Amino acid sequence: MIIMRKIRVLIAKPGLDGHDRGAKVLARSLMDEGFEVIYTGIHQTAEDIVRTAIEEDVDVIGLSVLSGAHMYHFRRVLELMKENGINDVLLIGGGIVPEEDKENLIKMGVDAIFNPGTSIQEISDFIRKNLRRPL
Amino acid sequence: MEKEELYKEKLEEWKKIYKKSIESMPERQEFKTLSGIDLNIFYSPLELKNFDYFENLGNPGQYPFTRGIHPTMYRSRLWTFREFSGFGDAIETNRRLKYLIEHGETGLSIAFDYPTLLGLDSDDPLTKGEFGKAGVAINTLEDMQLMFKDIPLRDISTSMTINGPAAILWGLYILAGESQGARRNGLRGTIQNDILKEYMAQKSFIFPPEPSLKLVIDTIEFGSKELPLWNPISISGYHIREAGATAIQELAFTLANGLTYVEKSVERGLDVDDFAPRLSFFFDAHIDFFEEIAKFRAARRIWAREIKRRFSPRKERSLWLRFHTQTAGVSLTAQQPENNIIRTAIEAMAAVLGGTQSLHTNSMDEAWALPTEKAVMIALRTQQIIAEESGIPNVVDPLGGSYYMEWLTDKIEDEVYKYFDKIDNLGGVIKGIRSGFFQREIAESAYRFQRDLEENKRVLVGVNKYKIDEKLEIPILRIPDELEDRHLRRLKNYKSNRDMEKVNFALKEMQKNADEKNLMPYIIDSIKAKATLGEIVKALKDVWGEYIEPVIY
Amino acid sequence: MNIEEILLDKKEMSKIMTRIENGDEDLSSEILKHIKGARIIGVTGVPGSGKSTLITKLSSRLLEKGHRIGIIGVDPSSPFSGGAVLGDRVRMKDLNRFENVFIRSISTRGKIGGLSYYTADLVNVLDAAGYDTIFIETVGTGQDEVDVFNIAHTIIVLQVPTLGDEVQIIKAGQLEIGDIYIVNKADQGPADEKIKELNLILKKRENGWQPLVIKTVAVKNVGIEEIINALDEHWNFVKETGLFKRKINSRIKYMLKQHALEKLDKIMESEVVDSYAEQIIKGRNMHEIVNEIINKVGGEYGKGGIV
Repeated sequence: MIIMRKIRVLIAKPGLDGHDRGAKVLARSLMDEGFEVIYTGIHQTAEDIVRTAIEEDVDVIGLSVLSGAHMYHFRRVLELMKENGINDVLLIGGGIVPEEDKENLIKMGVDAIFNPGTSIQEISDFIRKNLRRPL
Repeated sequence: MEKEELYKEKLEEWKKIYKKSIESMPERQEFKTLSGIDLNIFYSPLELKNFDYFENLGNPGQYPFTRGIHPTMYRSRLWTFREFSGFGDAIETNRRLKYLIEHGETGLSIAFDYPTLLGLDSDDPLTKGEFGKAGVAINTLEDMQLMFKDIPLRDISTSMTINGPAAILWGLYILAGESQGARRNGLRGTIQNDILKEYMAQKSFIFPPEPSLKLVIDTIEFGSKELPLWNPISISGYHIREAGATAIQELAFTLANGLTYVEKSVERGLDVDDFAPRLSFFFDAHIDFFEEIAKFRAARRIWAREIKRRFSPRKERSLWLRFHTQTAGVSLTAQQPENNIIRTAIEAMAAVLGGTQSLHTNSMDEAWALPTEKAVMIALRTQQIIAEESGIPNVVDPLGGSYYMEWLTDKIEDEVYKYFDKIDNLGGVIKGIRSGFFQREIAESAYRFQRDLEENKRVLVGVNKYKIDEKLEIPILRIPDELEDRHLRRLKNYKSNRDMEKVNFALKEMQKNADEKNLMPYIIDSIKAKATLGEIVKALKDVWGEYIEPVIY
Repeated sequence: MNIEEILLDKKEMSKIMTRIENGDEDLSSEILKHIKGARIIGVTGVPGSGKSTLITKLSSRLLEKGHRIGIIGVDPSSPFSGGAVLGDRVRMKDLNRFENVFIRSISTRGKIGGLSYYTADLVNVLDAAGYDTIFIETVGTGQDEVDVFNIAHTIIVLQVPTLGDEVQIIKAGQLEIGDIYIVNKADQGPADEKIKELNLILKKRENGWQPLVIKTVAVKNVGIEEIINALDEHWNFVKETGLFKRKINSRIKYMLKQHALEKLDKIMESEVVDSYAEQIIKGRNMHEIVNEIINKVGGEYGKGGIV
């Protein structure tokens, strides 16, 4: 048996919307996939999120935004990641993000945006394939 | 009895003849409603053994109101067509409201942005990036006045989707109306004001449950005395459902919340007949057509029975469950968004067949962003086609008496009562919230639904079946930055042109009386002194604290 | 660069914790050389008793007094997938306004007893990095959670007046391990009865400490100051009675045991066990097999072939 280290994923809801159905379903489903998921709850600032990512030494930051304020929140998290020299962590997101914004977010440095309706399998496969750190 | 034997005999005979086809259902293995209720191939009088027309249904407008609260339903008046509006600032929303009125909308419905929903002014640093995104930002009396500029509040009915700070937005509306010359007791409309479901599902709460509930009862009391035509609360299953609950959970939790409000109001010393007729409800219309219709019918019946049993009102109106419906946002798909027009049409039909008093149809692009005017127009036309072309509104409760419909209505009622027992055992709704019961139930259903999708046990057209490669070109409604700048300038100006001593005095008075007296007059005084939404909420937070929810997945 | 300098950088420290959690024993040993003797406080109690809220309130107070606070929150792992959802931070959000606090969420990774195999090692990292007060929030399943007793100088046991006694005390066996008992959420039930009951049951410990019972409403900051004082009182007791030294000893012994157990556990979870099971069915002596496995832990099994 080969013991691999656990993949750690931070699931956070930045901003003020309280729609946590997707975030919670994802957290629990990723647990089923064997990941360790750090769930922070709603109303997180970008500062809270990046700090948590550092202290928990996560492989992935996943943001769920349904308030329409995704451009602001992703930009801010990216800025803070850069400031803190975090370059080995995946940044992914989900929620209500129009196609045009999605393209811009990817250009800015977000690794992936998953639309509503994406299967959990697709998300966990993406994480496993794109990890920036060795397993 | 003889007849029952006959039905049984015939059923056995039928099973024998069609044995082969019954056993080899090629398409699917399981037949369940969206809530997971197991279904027979067909329904017959056998399933309605104890059916008693007057006991279970009654004629329209008669107890237990299963068929509808009005004797003639849509023959005398169609349901109210409502579409949400609100984004950016008050001035922009005012423009949109006028557009909707021009196109035949009969009631206004205001959505607020997240900062407003949480009682934060737009200059609060926590609100960065959220201005005007999901609704309009309203911070001051001036904002409220601008939003309804040239829209006579005396003649229109307005529904405001606001909960945590509902009492304050209501105060703003009352004063905006009065500044137009409209009398308080003539104002018509609804504030959602259903705080209990915020803790269960939508999570836009501010204070802990107990003082929040006290504030809601304040508004119910105030309304019964000063605004007799206003619905001070819209007890909402919509958000519970959207958070992942089943139809049964939606109904059970919503009615349990409703009964809690009534109980608390009666404890306050109010006469049930003075406020119960003004309580209104708000449900989701999801995609399982028959289950939704059954849900609406069961809702009316359970409510009438429980209010009668528990509170013995004298007025018949106190037994009415009046409700607004919105089609299910959660059923919309981001993929092939045009399909959402069809989904919405099916859901809207379920709402009308279920006897709704007003209806909001979602726009096809809402899985992407705020709807564009074109998309809103199609949504409104969907209602107009049902109302004026389809013939559906001609007959009251046209599905009443269908074996399946009556069985399903009974079944949902039974399941709801099971939940009532569970909630009673927990010690009531608030205890259930604090222990995370409702949150756990809802999260569990959401999780199960997702699993079913992953395992292809459920089909979502365009998502896990009939997928296509598509390049989506949906026009997106953008909120121009100028709106935020304009709003912030206005707020700054408002704050610098007032007497702070008056503001502080009014807020202190409110704080002093927060737990003991009805807060509405103090809130209104604070607004008159030019306190902002954020300041009033902050003052109350200082007294009551803020709520952090238990952690439930 | 020496390890203490590395530990000054939160990001680097965090990565060290990850390596230790994944079994880097050389690093564990190195860290152990640098511990400074932080005060370690275990917090235990059933779900819903308010552990995270209490830790947050106590930490805020101690941070204001100039302490540096480390927190380790333990949540259970799924026995099926090995994954976990770690949610202790939800209630600790208030602490994000302070710089001198470090929170780490971990899962039990299959271990019972309320902690993970390497919790003590992670505590050492925080200690070595100069966090002078370290809270350990145990799993809180209401099961037997006495592991924390081996590491913590002071143990706080939370009770709430709203839940049945059977769940809280008898099952958990926590009457023996607590130094400070908190009746939290005192505004939600018969708290005074609960306190009377606890005062009646709780006897003076062998080491001479009489457990304290305190009533709180943590969310409203009621009783927090009393706990801070009680913690200080117990800390003095720990230092004066030589308990401090004994605890370092027990912590090291506990670590050793966990490292060994973890290895053994991995072996026993591996396919090696299948062949032994077969041998047993064929009639080989159990005692003999156990001895063989233990011998091999130090030999071929321990050398990385399996682990």
